[in-house]
Amino acid sequence: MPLVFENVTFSYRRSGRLFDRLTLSFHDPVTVVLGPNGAGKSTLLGIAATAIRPDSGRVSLDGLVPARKRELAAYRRRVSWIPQQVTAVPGLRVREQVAYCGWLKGLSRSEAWDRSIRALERVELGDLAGRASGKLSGGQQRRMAIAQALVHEASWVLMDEPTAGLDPGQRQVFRRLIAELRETAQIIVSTHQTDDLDTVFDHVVLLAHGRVHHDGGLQSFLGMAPEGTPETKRAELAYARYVGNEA
Amino acid sequence: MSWYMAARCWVVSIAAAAMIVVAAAVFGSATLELPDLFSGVVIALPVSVLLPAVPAAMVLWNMGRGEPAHEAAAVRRPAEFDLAAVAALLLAQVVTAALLAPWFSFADSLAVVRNTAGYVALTLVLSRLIGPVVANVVMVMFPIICVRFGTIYAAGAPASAWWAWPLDTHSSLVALTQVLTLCVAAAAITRAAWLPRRRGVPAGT
Amino acid sequence: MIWVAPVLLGLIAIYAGDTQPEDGGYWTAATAVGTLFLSFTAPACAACAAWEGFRSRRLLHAVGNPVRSSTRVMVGGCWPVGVLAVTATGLVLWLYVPEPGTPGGPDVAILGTELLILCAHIAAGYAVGRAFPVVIAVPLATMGSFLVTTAGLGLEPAWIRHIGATNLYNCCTVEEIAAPEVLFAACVFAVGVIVSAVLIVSARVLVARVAAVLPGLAGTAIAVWLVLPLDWEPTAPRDLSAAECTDGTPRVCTWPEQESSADTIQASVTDVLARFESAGIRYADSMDPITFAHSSPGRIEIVATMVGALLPTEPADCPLGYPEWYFDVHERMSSWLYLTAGLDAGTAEGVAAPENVEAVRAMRSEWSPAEQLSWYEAGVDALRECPQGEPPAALRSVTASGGPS
Repeated sequence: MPLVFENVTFSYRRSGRLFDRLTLSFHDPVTVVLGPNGAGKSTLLGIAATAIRPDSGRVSLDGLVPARKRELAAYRRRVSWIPQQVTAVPGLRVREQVAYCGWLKGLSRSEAWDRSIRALERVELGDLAGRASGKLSGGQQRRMAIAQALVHEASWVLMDEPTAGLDPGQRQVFRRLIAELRETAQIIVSTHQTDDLDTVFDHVVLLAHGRVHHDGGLQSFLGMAPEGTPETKRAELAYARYVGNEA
Repeated sequence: MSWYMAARCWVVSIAAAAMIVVAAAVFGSATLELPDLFSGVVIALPVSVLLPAVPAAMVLWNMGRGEPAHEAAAVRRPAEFDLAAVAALLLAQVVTAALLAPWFSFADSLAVVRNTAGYVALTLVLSRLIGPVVANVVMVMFPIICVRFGTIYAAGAPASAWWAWPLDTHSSLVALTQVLTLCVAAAAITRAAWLPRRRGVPAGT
Repeated sequence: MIWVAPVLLGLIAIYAGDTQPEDGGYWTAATAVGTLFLSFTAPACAACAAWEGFRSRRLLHAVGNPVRSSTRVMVGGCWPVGVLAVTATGLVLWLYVPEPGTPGGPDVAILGTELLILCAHIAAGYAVGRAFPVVIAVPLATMGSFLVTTAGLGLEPAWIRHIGATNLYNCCTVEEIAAPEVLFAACVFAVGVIVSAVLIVSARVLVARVAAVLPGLAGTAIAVWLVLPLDWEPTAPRDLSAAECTDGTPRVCTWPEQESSADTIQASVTDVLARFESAGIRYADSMDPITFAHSSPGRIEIVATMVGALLPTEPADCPLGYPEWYFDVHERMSSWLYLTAGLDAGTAEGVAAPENVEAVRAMRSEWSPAEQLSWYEAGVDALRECPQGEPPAALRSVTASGGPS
């Protein structure tokens, strides 16, 4: 069930064209979109989440085209999204906020409420479910955001910089979560940090200035590092080779 | 739904809207005397014309609350819930007007409801064109613009220009038509917010 | 703010053509008319400051625990708005600059007060922006500022307009200055608001925020106390030491702004005095010097001023008040003095009621000069006293009931 971008063009009013007839297909269970700041990672995921409308081109998922109004709801039901910016809604508790996102995704009230605690437990926030969402720390808010994306059990999970602000321990939890999630959903994770690259990722898309520089398996990406590079440095050097001074 | 109501904090605006009907009824025909220093005349701004701008300004605050990113990619349509909440706000005003009817003019209170509806619709339309902050500034200045430029001093009592609908009496069909047109436009624009947006997720306010 | 500036400056430029200062040849009046534009400038500045307050709130939220103090952050956010305020004030001043050669310069006290008031609007707008959501804060600051600068003029009592210096715009004729109490009160009020805004922004707990309102209240109380004795006029008499006066009776003084009209004034005064003297009319030795209100007084103003100096002012606290005949006598005598001073009937009708001018014109043609003088003297005596019952017999023939018998 691939997520396909066909000839997608998108421009920002001020900074000009970002994607020019971008064609890309996501089909592996876990894909990482790697690229420097301003590469277009968030915009790519925003378009995939249907929060942003491209100028032209087509996005489709299992034959569903969100540009067709009748298919938009079905498309959105299959996709969940963790935006880069986490919003703590004043007046809502952590569990309520997660349940609210489930409700927005079409779950019934009781279903959303039941699933919200499970989603919070998956990100180890179950014990903070009754706390006001605004009172969480930055890292806890990010985990709450992950729980918001998990609550309606979508077939595609789009995560925009999900590890930003997480401590090493929580990053480990996140990796475990990805490994667990891949059994039930396909995942796209965007990041600009090469140390996020892990064996849990099957596919790497390297994006810089709106252009795809690499679209292939993790091993083929790491293989671009110079020979003799220590294992811990391979991702960084491969990334530098592609993006180099351009980034 | 209750999470949506809590996230949007609609209760505050609905309560404020009802209170505005009470305040407008109590103030009655009281006016705020604003000297137009340049023309030398005094502009009488009816308090009941200005007050409905308060709940109308709060509507954009309500709609800016919540989870903008998740709402932008939602299956349910928060924009339609917003419209329903605005309808509830206006209904609360009508109910308040009806409750006040034994003591105050029901017709005058209906004019306050009409103006609230018009201001809300105006600010919703404008917010799509010029952003929510400037839209609200323009909306709260609109009653003053109406009084300053939309009052015609002819023989007899001053009349209002065709476009200055907030100044019209409750029975004015011209004013009602304009407000309804604005409401239809605002509803169409607001409903479209469910579709993917060219500019992405609106910034929180 | 980048797009607020052209809108604001454009509005000022457009509206400046619609209004004139009290006296375009007097720097104080040319400066004071600028306060009229506070109803544009203050809301624009308050709105921009509210926006800056919102931005700094977001920034502080992102930074968490900033090194700089709240006041530093406030000043850092608000100084561009201050530049807008200074630019707008400068533009207004430039649009009303008197003709070259006008003595003196901009009234620094009025300018300073105006800028301090704008600072108060900026500080209050910033505090509103910090406290409320931006979609409410900006319109609230705009509307609040507009109502404070405009609605005060329509409200009673007078101190409401004095503490905001909102009615300074019609200050002043050349023989007046802005009342120091008004300027001082406006400054105290503005400083109170600024201090309160700074404290509100700096306060971390609710109790401190509530307490922060106290300086504003104190400033308001002091300002009200300062202007409470004043009537509607925000002006005070100008110090006569700045004027150049003639010797003799009456003493006629001209202000530096009237230097270019000195010859006209001198010629008119000499002519009027000669006519009065030939009619037997004398000025009292003890009277105040005569001054003229405008920088370029015309003949009518000179005559009216000299006539006004001859007639007594209403005695204060008359137990029976002032019957209609009292004012009627006053008007008739003014009309008679206008004609005696050499104004033709048509011109006199421009400054006095035509029926009064007509009545005294008939009297002048029918009565002998001695009869007229004795009528005039009887009138002056009557006007000096509190009126009681009917007018004195000598005046009855020319009261409202008809012309000379």
